[in-house]
Amino acid sequence: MLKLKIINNGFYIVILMAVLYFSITAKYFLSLENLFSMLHSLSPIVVISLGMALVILMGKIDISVGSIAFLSVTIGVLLITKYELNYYLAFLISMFIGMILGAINGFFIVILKINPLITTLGTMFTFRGVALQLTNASVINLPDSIRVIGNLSIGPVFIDTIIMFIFLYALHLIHLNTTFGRHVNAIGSKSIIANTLGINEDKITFLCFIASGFLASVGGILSLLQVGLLSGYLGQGLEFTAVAVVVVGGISLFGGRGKIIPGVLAGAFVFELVRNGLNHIGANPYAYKLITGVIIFVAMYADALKKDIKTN
Amino acid sequence: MNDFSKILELKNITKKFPGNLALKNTNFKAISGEIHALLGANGAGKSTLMNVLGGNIRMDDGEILINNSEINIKNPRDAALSKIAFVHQELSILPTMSVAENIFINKFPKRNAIFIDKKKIKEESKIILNKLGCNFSPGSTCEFLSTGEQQMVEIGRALAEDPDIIIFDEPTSSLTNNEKEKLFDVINNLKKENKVIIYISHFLDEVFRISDKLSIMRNGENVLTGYTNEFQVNDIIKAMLGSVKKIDKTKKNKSDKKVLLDVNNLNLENVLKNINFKIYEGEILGICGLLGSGRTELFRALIGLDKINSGKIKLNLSNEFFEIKPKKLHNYVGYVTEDRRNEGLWLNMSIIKNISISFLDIIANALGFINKKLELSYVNNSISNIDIKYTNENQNVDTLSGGNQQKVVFTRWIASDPLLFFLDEPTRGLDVNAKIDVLKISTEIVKNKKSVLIISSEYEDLIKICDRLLIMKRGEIINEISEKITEDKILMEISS
Repeated sequence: MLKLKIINNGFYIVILMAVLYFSITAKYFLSLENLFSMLHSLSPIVVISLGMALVILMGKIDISVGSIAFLSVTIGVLLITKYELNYYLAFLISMFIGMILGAINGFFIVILKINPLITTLGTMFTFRGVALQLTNASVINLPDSIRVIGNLSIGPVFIDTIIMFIFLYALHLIHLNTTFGRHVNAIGSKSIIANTLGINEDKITFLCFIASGFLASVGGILSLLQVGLLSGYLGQGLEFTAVAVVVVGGISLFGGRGKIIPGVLAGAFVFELVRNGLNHIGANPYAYKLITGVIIFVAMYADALKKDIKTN
Repeated sequence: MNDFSKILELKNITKKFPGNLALKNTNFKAISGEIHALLGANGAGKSTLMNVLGGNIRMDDGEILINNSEINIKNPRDAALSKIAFVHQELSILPTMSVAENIFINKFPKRNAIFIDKKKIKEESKIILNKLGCNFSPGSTCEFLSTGEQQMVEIGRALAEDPDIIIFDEPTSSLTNNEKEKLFDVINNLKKENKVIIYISHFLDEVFRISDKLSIMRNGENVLTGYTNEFQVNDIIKAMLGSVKKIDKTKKNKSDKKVLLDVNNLNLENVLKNINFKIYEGEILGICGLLGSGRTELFRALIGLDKINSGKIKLNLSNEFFEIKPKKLHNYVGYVTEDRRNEGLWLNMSIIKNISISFLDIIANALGFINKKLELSYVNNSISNIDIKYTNENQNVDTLSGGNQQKVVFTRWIASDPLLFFLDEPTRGLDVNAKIDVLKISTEIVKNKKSVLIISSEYEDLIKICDRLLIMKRGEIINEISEKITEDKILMEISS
């Protein structure tokens, strides 16, 4: 049992070790300002990972989230720059597009019964392709008034951090305290049994993919606002980062295990901590890739161990 | 405490499956405050009848009445609405979720329109667990509980909807003695609460111990009903089996008493205990026991698919005994698994490929390229002894009938020429003719000094071909029948 407790809370150990290391080796690392800066940076990935967490808790996967973020945001930006639509309306439409793209995934997976990995692999390429077509792969600058929103803060706390926490808490509550959330867990735990018990796996799968699409678009918007312009690389590779965040956070790829709080936040924090710290000490940029690779490997191994421990 | 009694009646229930009339105008009646046992051999129809009541199967004809008014059960929800609960033999526990969540998974009490009432769930779970005499907390994760504890959770789930009628299907097959006692206490308490309790079981000693009434099913009909204390064991067995049949033995003559495999003190924690037995050359050794007795696990442990804790295995190779490790023993064993469609065959590959897989090293050259001509001739050679009905060796095995698919699996193993065959439920799901064919193959195999170890729940098959029979229960070999194997003897051992 102790073994399981260590594995489940492994991310705390990594966070502690990283904080200790960087506090010693980097001058301005250990400061409140840096903490808020890190929380600001990780807001978009946390929101996207929330959608991923929901899908993974159900025992499935969605690797199109990066592309959904990109396409939905692209449409929003084009509405603003080309058609001069009101910003809020445009981003609202983006979020709606995110839901539709999620529904498209849902359609292939639930109705056509295509494997989720294959489906979202296909939509990952397709959605990004459509978006690049719409923008001609060019960079689109955002009007200044919007760029300001991206870095708005109340005191030291950034607005997007607050938005992140709202979504984090909401998803946490939905997962733990609603019938829907418990059914998501049941399907991930053992879908055959969940079906025998009369849980509507199809309906819940559809809803989770729509949610994933929605959250991907929200995360995409947050990311866009931070960067200030739309480039063809927005969201690229985000899906894999999201999976890594979710697994490091203790949510099992096998489904049915893990908590959104602290899981998703802690998982994102681990990676952001490492990136931020390496930045502070001026490390080789490839060091980041190597270290995150090791962290992901250890997390996946721990995940596999978790599954074996239970057979008592 | 409600006073009014419930009378449950199933009248003229008929259910037909393809090729099998499972229930023929079956009648059954049970009343409140009584434990009514339902007995019968495999395939007699007792599970089918109860599944009709529980809403898992829809009957073709008949009526279900509670206190003389007819109810319509199309699915498990309907059954629940009629206050019927079914505790299945195979547990349906969600492993990564808590006890409380498993209990209330079908109907979470809600705090408001959106959120579930966690406090109430915890409290109500505690009440139910107390009633069941369980000392684990509602927050425990189910995968860490023992089978018996998980079963209590499953019963808890059934009780959560406050049923009046509760069906228990073979509830004790995977329980320890202590857990069994607890279960009996629980069931007796439910009886005192005036519930209608139906108890399906193979174990005659349990039936005699706790049931008030019993009904015996045979060939889809309820042939005998009455008060338990008015019956003798023999009456029951006779009613279950019908008239004593003359069984046509397709057995071969006695083998040479040379030991081929000797297993000593095999142990696998919580699964197998102190397994000791020998197999002789040319012998067909049967293994029978109920679900959960460890038969398949024994096979897996012997060939190293699961790691054992202790034990010695000795194999007779060219007249000398060598101690051998399970993984190495695997090289000498042809293992026909229980589940041919999932574990035995590549369904979308051809007959040839499914068979030649076992001797690819012989037909491939140094670079790994397969000589197709050689492959075909070897495969044809292997098939020639076994009557498999196919159009073309290149057709995919999923186009074959169940019986023929099973023969393909056999052919593959025969072609690899092992010393031993482990057959796990080889006739499952096969029609009468295919069954006979498969049994014949088994008796042919042992003509060449090979031995066969066969697990089966079809006692007739075991009687037809086995030289000896081992009885397993809860991971141990509890007895051996070496002379005149009869169905009576088997049932006696199994129900003890």
